[in-house]
Amino acid sequence: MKDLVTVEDLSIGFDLRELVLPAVDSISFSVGTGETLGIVGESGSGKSLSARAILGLLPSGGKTTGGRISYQPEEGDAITITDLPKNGRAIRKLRGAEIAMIFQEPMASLSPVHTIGNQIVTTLRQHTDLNKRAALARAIELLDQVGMASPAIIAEQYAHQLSGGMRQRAMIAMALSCSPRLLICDEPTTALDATTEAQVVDLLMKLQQDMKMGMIFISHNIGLVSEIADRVMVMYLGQSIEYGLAGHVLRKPAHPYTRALLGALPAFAEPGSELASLQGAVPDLAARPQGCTFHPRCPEYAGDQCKTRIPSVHVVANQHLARCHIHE
Amino acid sequence: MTGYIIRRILWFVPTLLAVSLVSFAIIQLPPGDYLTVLEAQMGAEGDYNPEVVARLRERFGFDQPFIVQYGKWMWAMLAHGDLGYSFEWRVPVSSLIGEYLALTVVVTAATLIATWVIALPIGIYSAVRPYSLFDYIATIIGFVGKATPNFLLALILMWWAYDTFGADVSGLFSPEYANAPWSWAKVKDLVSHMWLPLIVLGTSGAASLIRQMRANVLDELQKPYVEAARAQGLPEWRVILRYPVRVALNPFLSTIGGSIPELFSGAVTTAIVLNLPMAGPMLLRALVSQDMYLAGSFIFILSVFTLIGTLISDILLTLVDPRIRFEEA
Ligand SMILES: Nc1ncnc2c1ncn2[C@@H]1O[C@H](COP(=O)(O)OP(=O)(O)OP(=O)(O)O)[C@@H](O)[C@H]1O
Ligand SMILES: [Mg+2]
Repeated sequence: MKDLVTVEDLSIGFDLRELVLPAVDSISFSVGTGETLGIVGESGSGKSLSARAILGLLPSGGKTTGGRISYQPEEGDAITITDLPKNGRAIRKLRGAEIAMIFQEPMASLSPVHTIGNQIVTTLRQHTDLNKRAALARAIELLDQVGMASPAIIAEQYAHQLSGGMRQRAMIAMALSCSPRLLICDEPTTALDATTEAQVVDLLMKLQQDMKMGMIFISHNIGLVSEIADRVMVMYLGQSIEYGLAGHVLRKPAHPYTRALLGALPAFAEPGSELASLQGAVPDLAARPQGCTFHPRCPEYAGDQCKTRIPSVHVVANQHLARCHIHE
Repeated sequence: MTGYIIRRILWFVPTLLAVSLVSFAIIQLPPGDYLTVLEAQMGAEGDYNPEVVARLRERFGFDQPFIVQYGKWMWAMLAHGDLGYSFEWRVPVSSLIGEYLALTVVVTAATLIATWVIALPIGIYSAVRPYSLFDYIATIIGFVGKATPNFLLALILMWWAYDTFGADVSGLFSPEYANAPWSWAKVKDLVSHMWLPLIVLGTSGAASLIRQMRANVLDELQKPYVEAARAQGLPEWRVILRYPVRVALNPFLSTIGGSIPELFSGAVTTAIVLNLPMAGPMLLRALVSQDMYLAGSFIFILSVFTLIGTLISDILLTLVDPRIRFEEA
């Protein structure tokens, strides 16, 4: 399997004049064609930043402070995304065309003043030679593909006229309009109710198989990720604390944090044990604990080394990495 | 849409009636009437003649009840387009105010357009590059422009122009064209005199427009849909013009109607200082001398303009922002 996107030792910081706030700390992962990478972690762990960096879309003040991201196009040499000028032509040729993104809040992420059809047509015309009429026909086709009952009517409507699930379907149609090779889904179902969530996830899985796309699926719900991901990365305070094949990570979690996350799920909890839940809250980025950033909350606290030494990454099994002293 | 516009226009009729009644009542409110003013004048000049005053009082119906006077005025206006008689100028109002109103509309419209054309791009650029040198300069000019009273700005510019060109730049026409019939040359003369009133009337409006546009666009730029547009691969300038600017314009469209009377009345001081033949000073004078039909007609026509302006605002707004529905109006 050839990797589409490779992220190596990526660090992202926010320039706050006195200090650079480290929001993402040397994470590495890769996604191959047809493969799904799940990224899980609590709010503020750096999931969105890591994903957006792939599109060169860091918020203002944020910048890559180390590492690199490379993308392997269908033909030709790999492109180093981290070297491309911000919002320049080269990165824009990838955005929406080769790498597309679906956002958490479909209502807020769709334009309030353009019809759904208009927005899909805009993406299509940005990246293809289709004329207006052909692009509109294609847009309607796409809306049909994502399961809209009357696509021609939906194309004429505005975001505020649609239900939550329909909006997210419209976002998906827009993201898929130029047949991207990698689809990044940033908590695509958080704003939806459970039934709609299941439908949208099914749709995404089906489309991924049909189009043989690579996919990055971000969620704070490890249960959801376990159902769809081939590989999983668990993030805590900007660090990747566990990374590996989904089967390994979920069945034999190697990091206390992952264990705690899974322990909170009935399906993964050991029979007879009480549902474990994490103590305390995620500390502020500016007040990152010394040593292992997780040690103040860790249920398997292993002595002074956790407080003083930053744990290194250990290989715990084939293609299974964890950042914890217990594996020394 | 068409139904909505027709409904709105039908609403004009009762609204205008109410406005005319109220404005007529307000004009009548101060004690006395035009003849009281005339009596005082005659008394001061020593040729007071009670018979003349009584004759005039009967002729203009001043001795009749308020509602009768109002009814006669409205009837003449609706039936014959007769706006009444100006006591002070001793001519029918309709022959008096046409040119003043036309010039007022020209100056007001030109000011509005110039303000928008200058202020909006500056506001947008300031928002896209906040805290840049350009933004700081625009901010300083904006605050100074906002804080300087129009009449002071007018006086400074007049003094400066006189000092530099040795010419009197007040008024809207050169002396040789002031009373000349309309011609191409007169239009050119008007245009060449417009810059001063435009600067004076437009500066403070432009200053606040820059601040508001900057704030609006800055707000919109934070919204997720802007990020989503970038993720579509659109060039940055298209992202900015297509989404945030478009949304940020909406609040201004809704102020077009309201800014018309503001420009009319705000222009009074300026028009007096700059000696502009505009409606504002004339209305003021008519109110002072209780020249009631002249004042009433001005207020009435001003209201018509405002209503039309509001309608235009609302139509533009519904065209630009699909979230606004017609039924709610
Ligand atoms: N514009 C910004 N300015 C300063 N700091 C930021 C900014 N955006 C993000 N951060 C910091 O980066 C950290 C990671 O943010 P990110 O959006 O990647 O979190 P996340 O894992 O996606 O969380 P969520 O589940 O809430 O979406 C945040 O805790 C925040 O402190
Ligand atoms: Mg996020």
